[in-house]
Amino acid sequence: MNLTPLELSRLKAEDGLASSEDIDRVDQAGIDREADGLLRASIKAALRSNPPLEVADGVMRRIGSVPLPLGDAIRQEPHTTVADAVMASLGGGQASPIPVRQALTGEAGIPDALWPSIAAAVGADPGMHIGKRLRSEVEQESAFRAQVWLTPRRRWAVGGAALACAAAAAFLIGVGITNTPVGPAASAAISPILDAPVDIEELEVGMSSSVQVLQFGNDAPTIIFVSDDLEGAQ
Amino acid sequence: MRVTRWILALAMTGSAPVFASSLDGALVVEKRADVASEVKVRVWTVHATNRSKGVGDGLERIAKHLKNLNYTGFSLLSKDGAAIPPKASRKFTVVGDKAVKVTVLDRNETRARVRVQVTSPKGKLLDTTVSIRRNGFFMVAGPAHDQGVLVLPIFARY
Repeated sequence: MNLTPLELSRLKAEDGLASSEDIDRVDQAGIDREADGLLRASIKAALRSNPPLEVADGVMRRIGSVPLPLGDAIRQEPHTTVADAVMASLGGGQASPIPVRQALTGEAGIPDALWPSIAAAVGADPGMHIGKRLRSEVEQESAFRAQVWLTPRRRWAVGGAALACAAAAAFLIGVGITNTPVGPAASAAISPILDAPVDIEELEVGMSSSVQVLQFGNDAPTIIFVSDDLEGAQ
Repeated sequence: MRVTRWILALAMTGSAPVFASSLDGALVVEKRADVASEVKVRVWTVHATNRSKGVGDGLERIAKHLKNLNYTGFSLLSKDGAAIPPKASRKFTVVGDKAVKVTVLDRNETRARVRVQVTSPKGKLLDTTVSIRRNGFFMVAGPAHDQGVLVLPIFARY
């Protein structure tokens, strides 16, 4: 079908694409361009006015408001066991599982123990049971051991020290009580009593002297009584 | 160790132990003020006799201790003193041509270690090393003098 130049100009004018020559040609032919436009609009409107068919409403009106148990229908449908299907395919239809672990260990073999090489590197005994060793160390560190200071050995030491000091004190006091001249030089050393008024660490008297250590109570001063003349002594 | 010291204290003093508590106390005392560098040593000379009665002037402070001695009268003859630094000595002369040489060996915040040497023209009477409680004193008694004896209170203050 071939369009004449006038028809082509009319179509362009209806589409709004006409040039001035097209418009002059249409007007010279005595054709109303507005009428052509109205005609096209009318045809387009007529084509758009056809409403779509509402099938769903019609069907629902037909079957009523009874709900369909679609959820139950889906849930009750047995699921497809894909894994079983895959395993069945891999296993040639056998029900027993594939021995994958055995296959891996069979291919790789049993690995060698690491401890002998580590023990050789750190200088430990390869035959040592490291688990047992660790358990024993943990038990040893966590075990409670009561610390008793007065052990039987210390009891003897304390008793001996006490007896020695008592003997030294008795000797020191005895020198003064007897008023007996001490030999060339009498000396005695006693351990200090920290809170006593005076701690006598060393005591030495002359050849013809005697000595007494007097203590009249804890708050009284210590008195060292030396007699250079026996008659002057108390 | 502390119980050992208790036993030692009981064995040596025969009295109530005054010692164990001081161990802890000493630790507290050590935090006191600074210790003076010198120890002020004072030596008194007291004549004790039975020819008189009573305690003379200047002895009121130590009268109760003097009365423990078996004499009835006490009189103050002299007072002497000196500030002695550690490792130093000072010699005091007392009546009867007797001498008291005091050497400060050491001192800490609680005690001073002092060596006391008492001599007479005849020779050595006493040579002792004692540890005196800070600001405490002790007495050396016994040298004969004028029908009595001399009592030498020795103080250590610092």
